[in-house]
Amino acid sequence: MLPIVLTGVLAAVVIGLLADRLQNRTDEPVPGSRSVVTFDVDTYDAQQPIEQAARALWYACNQAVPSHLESLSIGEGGSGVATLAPAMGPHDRKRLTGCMHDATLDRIRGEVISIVDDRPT
Amino acid sequence: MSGRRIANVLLLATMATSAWYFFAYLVWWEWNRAVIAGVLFVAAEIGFVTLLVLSRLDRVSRQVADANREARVRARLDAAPNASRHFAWLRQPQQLNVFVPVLLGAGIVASALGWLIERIARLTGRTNTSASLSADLADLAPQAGGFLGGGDPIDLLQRPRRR
Repeated sequence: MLPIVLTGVLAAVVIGLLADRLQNRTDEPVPGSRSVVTFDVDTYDAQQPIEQAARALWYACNQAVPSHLESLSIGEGGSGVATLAPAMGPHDRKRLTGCMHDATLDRIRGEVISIVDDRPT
Repeated sequence: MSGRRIANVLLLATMATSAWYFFAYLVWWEWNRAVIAGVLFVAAEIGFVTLLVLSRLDRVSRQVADANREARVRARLDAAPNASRHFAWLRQPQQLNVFVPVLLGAGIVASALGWLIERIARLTGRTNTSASLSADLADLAPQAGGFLGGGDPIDLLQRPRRR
């Protein structure tokens, strides 16, 4: 009887933790705020230039967040800076970072270096 | 460590790692990688279950083979001739040197007993056997002239009955 109870308690705790970590919510937008995302993109034997790969990955992952793209600049080597308005909440950040890290596009992998929010005081 | 045990350990490690990364990728919101980790987990699980089923089948087939072996031995024992042969030692002529002296000795003893009984009977038996026997049988003898008194049986039957 005791092992069954312990297993049930452990399963409930694990499921609760996973539910907390896996939940997805719509973040409340803060008017007048911005998020500046710095990212870097690497490619492996890609057919297109790395700048186009970085731009394609960014536009693909930008669909994961409701914030509008204000500006995007892609530098040499696949590094870029994007400005989104309004600022992203914690769930938006997780979705954008996951999309950039994930195998969203073949042979292209992005990494979010930093996300800096500019919120009105 | 046997090959099957190594395979089990590797498969279990693969299952644990892929399960961990499956949930980790879900937490990190990396769905494609989570799908790949999940496929790896399912593949390792199928391999592990297959090995488990194969080992169970191997054990069952071994048990069936052992049962057949036992049945064969039992059938062979049942088909063997009955070993309870009486006086089996008589079938071996080289052992008659024990039986013949015993038989001869028993015959000598029986003859001696018979001779002794005969001598005792001769010494104790009465010599006037016919005289004593006639005295004993005299009570059973019919009267003189028979039960009809010497008459003719037909004449007796035709004579009127006296009341």
